[in-house]
Amino acid sequence: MSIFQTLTEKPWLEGKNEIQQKSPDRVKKSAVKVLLSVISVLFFLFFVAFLMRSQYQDWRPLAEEPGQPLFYKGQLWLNTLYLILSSLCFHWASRAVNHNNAKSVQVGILIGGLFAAAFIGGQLVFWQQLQAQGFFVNHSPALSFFYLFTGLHIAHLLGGMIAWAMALFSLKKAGNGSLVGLCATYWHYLLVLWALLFALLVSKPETYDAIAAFCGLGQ
Amino acid sequence: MTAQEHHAPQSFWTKYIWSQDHKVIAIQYSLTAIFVGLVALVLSTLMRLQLGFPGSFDFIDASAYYQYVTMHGMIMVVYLLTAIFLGGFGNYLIPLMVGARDMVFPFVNMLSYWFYLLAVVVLLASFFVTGGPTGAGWTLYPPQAILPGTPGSDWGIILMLVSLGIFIIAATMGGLNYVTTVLQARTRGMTMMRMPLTIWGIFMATILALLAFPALFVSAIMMLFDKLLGTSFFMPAILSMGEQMGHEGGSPILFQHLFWFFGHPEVYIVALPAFGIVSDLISTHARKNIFGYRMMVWAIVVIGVLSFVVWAHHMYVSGMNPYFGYFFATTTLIIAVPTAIKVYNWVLTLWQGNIRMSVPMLFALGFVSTFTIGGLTGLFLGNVVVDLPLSDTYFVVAHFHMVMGVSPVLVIFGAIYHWYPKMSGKMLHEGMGKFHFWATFLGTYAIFFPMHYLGVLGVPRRYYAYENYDFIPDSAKDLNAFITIAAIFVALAQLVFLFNLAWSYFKGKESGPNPWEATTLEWQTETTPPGHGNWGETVPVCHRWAYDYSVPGYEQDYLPQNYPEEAKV
Repeated sequence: MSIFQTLTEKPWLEGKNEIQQKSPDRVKKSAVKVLLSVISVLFFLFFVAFLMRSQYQDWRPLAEEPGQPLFYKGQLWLNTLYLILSSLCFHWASRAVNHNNAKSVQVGILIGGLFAAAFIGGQLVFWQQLQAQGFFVNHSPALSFFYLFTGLHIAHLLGGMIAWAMALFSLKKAGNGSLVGLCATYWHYLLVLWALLFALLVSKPETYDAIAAFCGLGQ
Repeated sequence: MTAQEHHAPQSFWTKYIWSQDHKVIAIQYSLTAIFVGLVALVLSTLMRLQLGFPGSFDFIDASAYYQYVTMHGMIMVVYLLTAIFLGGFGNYLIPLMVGARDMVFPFVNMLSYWFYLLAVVVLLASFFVTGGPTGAGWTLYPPQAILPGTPGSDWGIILMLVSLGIFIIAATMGGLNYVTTVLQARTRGMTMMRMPLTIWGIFMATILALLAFPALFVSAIMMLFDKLLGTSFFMPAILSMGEQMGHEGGSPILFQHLFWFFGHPEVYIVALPAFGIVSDLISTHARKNIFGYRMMVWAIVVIGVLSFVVWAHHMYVSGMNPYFGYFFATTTLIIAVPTAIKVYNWVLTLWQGNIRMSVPMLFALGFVSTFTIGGLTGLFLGNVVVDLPLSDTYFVVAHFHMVMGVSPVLVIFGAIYHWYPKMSGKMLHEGMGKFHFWATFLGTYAIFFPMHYLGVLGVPRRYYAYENYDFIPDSAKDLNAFITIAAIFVALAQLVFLFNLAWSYFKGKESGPNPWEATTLEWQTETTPPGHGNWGETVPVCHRWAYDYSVPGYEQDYLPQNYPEEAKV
């Protein structure tokens, strides 16, 4: 029922009594949707802060010239590949749940989790590489955002790893695969989020200047 | 979930401490919030002592005064009001009013409380660290919040920001539960539009909290980075104590935008549950169906949406583009429309009702009065040209204390008097309750109404002392002394309330299951207080909306929501 239909009901008149209790799966799905909305708002606000801050004089882009911190992005592309593979494994596992293929489910989420761990490790390696070159968190505002975004993204992935461990546990113990689909949704979301963050951080100043101007944030 | 699946915990620890029962968690939330609220009340009394009788108390120096101001504001807004409305009443009422056995994720609900408690402990710890708590003002504006010279600019501000971060995690865990429970765990027949307005208010406020708190989280994290890691998100190039700081190029205005993008919805995170609860109190105690139920729901939704596009009216004096100010003044004035509709509907519900002047009803009526007064001064401040001269004066202090200090607190008291019988099985003592109401209602008017005059005189807020300002007449000082005496009186009157809570628990009159003859489901439980799982063997089925009072053709003057249609006589 659409929201408008709901809001125009007349509850003081006799109405239908039948709304059914929802299944536990739907409850969890609904909670994941709410959670993803909250995370989206959080990162949306970070995006806006990034765009606003980028309009000040001292802003230096990250990936324009060889001397800049993100000019060599090989490690980041490799990490991105890990996350894509991780997401694909979860997708495969969640399809296997629908086909009652227990073996594939287990293999899928196990390998998916390992790729996610590889992504986190890869991001930390990249941090180390940056710091070895003297690019610390207070080097420039854009690089501060880089550390902040990647750190928060890792934190969200670590939260996902808890759900991953729970999914693995309930699969082993009770053969219950209901969490696998939700993990897959969350992983796809984090992949898309990472792609957006990566694109924003390495994009040309003209690009985010244009977005900032479009949003009325230009100087 | 059947009753059999819902095993009641047996040991003291699982029943009362590590409890996953929404009712116990609600009481844990409420008691913690009331405790920390009392700390903030003491701080405000100390502030008033300085303002009413300047220099008479040696231990209140300028630094201490600013620390009291800051901690009072932050505790009251976030750790008391938000926590008690969502964590307290939200937790207690949502499952009971929608006919569920518990929240959908009881373990996460328990975690939510313990994170909240941790946030409170971290916040209060700042009283005991070197330099004391932050004195930056509750808005924590950079650059001053983290620079030397501001009280608590070392550990105080760090603990404040960390505490806020933990609180937001707690609020998000709670919020996920409240929203999902309302959407997915309603009993049969409980359509969205049959939900009591209390639940609508809490539901919408929770959505606002879930969407607005991230802005505070973002600003807290970025400020922590600036403070601890030397980044320049908000910090401009600046000389402090004659020394060039390492920061450059940051934008304090960016912080203000982020803060108020949270800060204004926060007003409605507090107000919407109050609106909902007051609607139910008035309807129940006037024995009349709420006037314009659908309009009330629409108003809650519209206010919720609009609350996200008015934030910059807190920043008129920050030097914004005039068109920007024009836009925000317009949205601010538009939000008065649905709010006014609610006030009309409360009054029209009372009109020709069979009004019972019970203590909850008195508090509800007190709320309508203070909220209207506080709301009207909001119309003044919402206009840029009127706001500019009144900005940073006591007029603003008067406005926001009336509209989001006193008003929601009156609702909290009304709600406690209303639902205490369900929580404890005992009635609160009526005589003490009436004294508490009149002392609080008249006392808070005595405190905040005169502040409007101080504001119009131009008396600035946030000042520690007012000596040697020619434009402030002596009469203003007399008024300040009067306000202080009224504030001490109101603070002491709250002791009667606390005594009443404790005394009635042991010696109060038995309430029975439904002392107010109310229709909503929480009054129809098998036992009072409701046991674990709330409903005994079977959950109730909802047959009607929540406002069937004085329906023609029935013997009793109320029809509970689970009263079947075919029982008509």
